[in-house]
Amino acid sequence: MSIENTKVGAEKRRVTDKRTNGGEIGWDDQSLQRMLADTERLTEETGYYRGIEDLALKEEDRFEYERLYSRLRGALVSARETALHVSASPIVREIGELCFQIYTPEGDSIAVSTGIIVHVHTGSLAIKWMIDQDYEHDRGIEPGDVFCNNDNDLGNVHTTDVHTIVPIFHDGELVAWADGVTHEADIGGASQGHTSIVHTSRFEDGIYATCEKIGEDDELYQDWKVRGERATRTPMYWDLDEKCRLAGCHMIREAVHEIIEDVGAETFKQFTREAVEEGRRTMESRVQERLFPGTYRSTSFAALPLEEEGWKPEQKQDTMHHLPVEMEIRADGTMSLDMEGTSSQGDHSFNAAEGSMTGGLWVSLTQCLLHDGKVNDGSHYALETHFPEGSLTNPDDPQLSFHAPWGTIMPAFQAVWENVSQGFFARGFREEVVTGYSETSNSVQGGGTLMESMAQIIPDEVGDYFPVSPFDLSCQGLGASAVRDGLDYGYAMWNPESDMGDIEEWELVQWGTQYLSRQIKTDSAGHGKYRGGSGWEGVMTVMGTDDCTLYKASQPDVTFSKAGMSGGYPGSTKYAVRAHDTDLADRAREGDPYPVGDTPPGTFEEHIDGDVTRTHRGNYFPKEYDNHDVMHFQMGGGPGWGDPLERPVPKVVGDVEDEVYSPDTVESVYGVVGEFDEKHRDFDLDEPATEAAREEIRERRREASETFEEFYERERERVADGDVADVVAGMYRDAFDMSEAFETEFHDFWDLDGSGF
Amino acid sequence: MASETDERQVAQLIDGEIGWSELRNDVLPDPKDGERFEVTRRLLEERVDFENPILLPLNDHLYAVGSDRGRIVKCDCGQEFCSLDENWKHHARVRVREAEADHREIYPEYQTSTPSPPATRSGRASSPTSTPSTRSGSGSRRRTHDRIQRYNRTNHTRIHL
Repeated sequence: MSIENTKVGAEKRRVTDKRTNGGEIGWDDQSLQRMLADTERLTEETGYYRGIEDLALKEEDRFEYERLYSRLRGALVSARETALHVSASPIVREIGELCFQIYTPEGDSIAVSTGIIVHVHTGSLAIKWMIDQDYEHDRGIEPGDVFCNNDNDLGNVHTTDVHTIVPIFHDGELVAWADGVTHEADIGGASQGHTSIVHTSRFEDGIYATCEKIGEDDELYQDWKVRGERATRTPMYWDLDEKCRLAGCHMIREAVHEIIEDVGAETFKQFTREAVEEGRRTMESRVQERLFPGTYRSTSFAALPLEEEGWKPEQKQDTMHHLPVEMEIRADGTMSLDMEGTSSQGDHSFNAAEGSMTGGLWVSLTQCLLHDGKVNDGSHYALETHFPEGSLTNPDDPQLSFHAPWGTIMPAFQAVWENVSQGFFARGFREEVVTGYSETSNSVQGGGTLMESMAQIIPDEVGDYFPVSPFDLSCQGLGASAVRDGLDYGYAMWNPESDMGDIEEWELVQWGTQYLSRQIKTDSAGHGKYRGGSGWEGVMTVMGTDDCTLYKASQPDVTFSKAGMSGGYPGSTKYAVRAHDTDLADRAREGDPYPVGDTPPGTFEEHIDGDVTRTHRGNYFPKEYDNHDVMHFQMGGGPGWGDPLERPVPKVVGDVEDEVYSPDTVESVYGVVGEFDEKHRDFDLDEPATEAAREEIRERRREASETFEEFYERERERVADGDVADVVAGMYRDAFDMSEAFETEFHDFWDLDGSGF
Repeated sequence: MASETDERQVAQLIDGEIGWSELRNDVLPDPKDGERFEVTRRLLEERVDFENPILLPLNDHLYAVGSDRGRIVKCDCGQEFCSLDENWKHHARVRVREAEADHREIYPEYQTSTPSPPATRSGRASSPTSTPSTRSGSGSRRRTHDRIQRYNRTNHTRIHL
């Protein structure tokens, strides 16, 4: 038994005695419900977190205050780094798909570790829900208890993010909560994978822990462990990650006890309050300093083409989602974010709970406004949000599927980033501009069973089932800023520490799959004076399996999510190509070429014979893959900034030589002409032809453009006649049903009297 | 850059000439310089040929400027778009790429949005450039202008000056 276990026993006796005598577990003998109500009231009344007008501890001894913050955050980072090496699944260990947070008794985040910091506020929602449901008196909250939540409706980002939440007690009081979250490769469910586009309801998503008590006295309940063993396809990874989260939470608890021992409980309590208030002030001061006040508007679109792929009748339709974002930046440093006019929730897995959206908000703002590390729920109090109830961004039905809310979060926050970037640019901080990013797909998922001969060579405890869920998707092209190109193939909006992982690591986990290539996806980067970061593509095959199914989630594919900025273009869209019943084995035997990409599109088929399927739509539902079948996948490029004709010619030459752009593309988009020696990667620039081509493009712009009035009248007629694609008309009709204000605005703009769609 | 404003660096940011090392180590980290807005504004004024005071930049070429007619949106080439209260996009020329051939100039096949959506209604123009406009007369423009005037809330960005 560890020292901590001994402490838990003593603490539990203390709390039991207290409760027996009618006492409460909150501070100063208050209930947690009372603490939460007081915090909300005081913050609302005063504008300061819990009414804290003076940061007394900080003012009195700044060094001690900063030391405490560093110590606490260091404990969180240390817990993360240590726990993932103690016990963790490959996604968690290799890619760092985990995060630890510490919360006040009423559930406000004090500090967060590195990693998937999208969760800075999700644990807060779960803790507040438990307080609201009176767990302290009903279910019970005691020293040594362990809770688990992955219910998005109660506080999570998507269903395969699983939280372990541990209360931290001192001297009979709950002084804080520790929360660890890991991203699971599989939680059961109707389809394999971590971000399924197949599901239509909660009942297909897999294991749901709804703020459930899963252990006491620091031990997990036997029945909970049995449930994990039997309800997921990858029980070993589930178990490893659960141990990881629990070990990390206990390390944090120990660190808090040591801090309290050093500085005293009262100082620790005061520090935690002031840290949240400081977070609020930091947010406001950053907004005041860096963003120009105003009302900023942008809209993203997300397509979900499932008419051909859908399995269930209700999902067999092509739909588009409308994701408008209006942000008010005020001179006092406060902000609001309003998504009035958002599409309705639906029978698919793109539903994003309010916690998912606030998670997306914090991971975004952390990267542009708050990147010095002090991120907590204070920021939350500096911002008002409106995610319309019943919409994709705030569903009112917990029975929906929440498996892949990223299909909503990622495009929606492209619009947020554009708004914030306009604010940066106007204020002179053009280095902070980010035009957007490639949404993190293709997401290749699936799994299979090994052939008997293969299964015999791997460790017994792994079993013969292998999951397929590589995190290649962590490395997308980042959008350009207003001073430089975007980062090539190295960005994921949900985890600033993006890492695609080594191929060898994925092949060790995904026993039945082998990579044939990873290479730059030419012509994927969004064009501009500063181009977006490039995307990349890969090819994999299946070997040594008895059965294997793979599928691919893709975004954007049949439509763009958003444009670039200041004349820049969006990165290219994604698509799908795969080959079944192939001659790959013969090619390997004969030493013949095999597909290593699809650049330019259509060349994949040149190096493989078989049943090739190619669709503009980038997603497909689980398909059976036999040995030597071949899958192509790709990651996207980021949007660009500025007019491509203003990109310096030497940079364009470099783009061709680096295979970011093809010679044909740079001629038609950038007006740069020359001969490219592919073998030596040498582009011989034809300067006179380049000058002429650039002038010709300018002339064509003049000829092919029209006045706004001409454009407006023509488009208005189409709108009035309903002469647009059915999916577009359907998207607007749905948005009108969701929001009378948006419908009025739309009809006012097009000067329609109820006609049109 | 730290807390002091280095005009050389601000000029490099505007001209896109700053190196990654200097950007990473000196410009991106906190704290930011407090005079950035004013210095940027002044340097931009030095770069344009017109005399109007630049109030703030809207993008690479458009500025909110002061004028005898109040605050207006003006291009660095001298083109005056409209009052700052209006949406400058309503005073710009528009080019829409809708036909597949127009898409192919920018993106390879399969790497762009579906050029011809599968479910479209009849009568749709294949390309805006191939559609003869019958509504380009001044009367039509006037009506359009009136509609747009009634609808100022569509400003993409409304700044508080």
